[in-house]
Amino acid sequence: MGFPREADDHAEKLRWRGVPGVGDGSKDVSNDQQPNRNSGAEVSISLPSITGKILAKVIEYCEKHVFDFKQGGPGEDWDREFVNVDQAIIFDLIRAADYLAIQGLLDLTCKKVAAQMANKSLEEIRKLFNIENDYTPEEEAAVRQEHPWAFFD
Amino acid sequence: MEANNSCEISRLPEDCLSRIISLTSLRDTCCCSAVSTSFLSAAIADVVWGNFLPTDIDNILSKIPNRPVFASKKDLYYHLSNHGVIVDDGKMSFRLDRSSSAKIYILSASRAVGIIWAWDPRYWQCVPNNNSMFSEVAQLIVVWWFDIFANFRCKNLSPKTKYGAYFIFKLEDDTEGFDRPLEASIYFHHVESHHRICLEARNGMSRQNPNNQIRYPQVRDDQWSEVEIGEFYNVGEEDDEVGVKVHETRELGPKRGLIFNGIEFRPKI
Repeated sequence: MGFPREADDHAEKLRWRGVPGVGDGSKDVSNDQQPNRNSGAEVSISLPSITGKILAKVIEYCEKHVFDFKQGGPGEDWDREFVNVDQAIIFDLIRAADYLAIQGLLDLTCKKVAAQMANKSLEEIRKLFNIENDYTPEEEAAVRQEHPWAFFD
Repeated sequence: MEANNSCEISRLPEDCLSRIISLTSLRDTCCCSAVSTSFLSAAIADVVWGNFLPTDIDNILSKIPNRPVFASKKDLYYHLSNHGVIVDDGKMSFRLDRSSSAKIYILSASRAVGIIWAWDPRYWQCVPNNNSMFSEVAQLIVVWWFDIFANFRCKNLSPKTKYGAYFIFKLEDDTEGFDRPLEASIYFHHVESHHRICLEARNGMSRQNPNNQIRYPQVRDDQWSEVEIGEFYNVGEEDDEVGVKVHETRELGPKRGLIFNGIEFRPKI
């Protein structure tokens, strides 16, 4: 996917120590499961395109939220600070959470990005995410025409 | 979160981008569709537009005999907000408010509104009308006792929303008697509010004259005229009902030349 890897041999393998409700639906576990060497609660999952740095953040999230169903999470302040990071990191977290099917992390990170987009004009959104406009003027006009009330620029 | 030089968001899988957009508002979603072609692709996904449809939309549509079928939820949303559907065996029309996605209903004058003397064809008749969504409208021949009323169950409407009730009509060329004000009342949560309305537009008169508080009509997008009967705040309680009345039963002058389409309940901004 063109994402630079950090030179960390252990980055690609995440030892999942039976964290309940987390990563249960991981998309690619079956391909990379290795025989359990220890207590039987440990599986190895290969995570291409996710660096050790992002993985560390994912683990940090999981460890903080592992007992959500029992005693509630670490609170909104912690969550808010957790996603107070650069765009690149947020998007890597989204991809990791999506790949590992970690619902809570996916919701938290997607909500952060959605909040950034809220009430922005078309040009502000393009500028915020550095998106190139690949519409022709006619195509863009046609899309705007479908709902002109939504544009205030 | 700092803006970056590279376009990081383009590396997201499309369903993640759809998920993000589904967490924004209707207005933001429409804006996103014009950002770029890849944003458009994510913004038109069912997971996004499913959010803007009412949760009971399947229930509403299942009761329509020729239920319209659409390729996507976005197409369904646009049909419901631009055209609407006739429901309840022709008694009402249903559509969505385009920018807020709140529910809008129109009660058919000929099928779902009480009109005193409508049982006598000397006074009122139900006739087809090309400009109406309904199969028939109520045409006034002549009447002296003008008395129209309707009730509506608020659970059909969007909760936590302020609604207005509107009298939808047209005056014919030979109209008579509607240059004088009518009484309009709305009854909700044990409170009745009264206003005076006038169906004939006056040149230079704004919608509501602050001096004598008479409400005058406005022309709608569908070319019918409307005048506001009143407003209410729909909390969303199961048993709430709103009642509206438009009448002139005091002076009892002759009234003729009115085509009455229905009563609309739609959100007020």
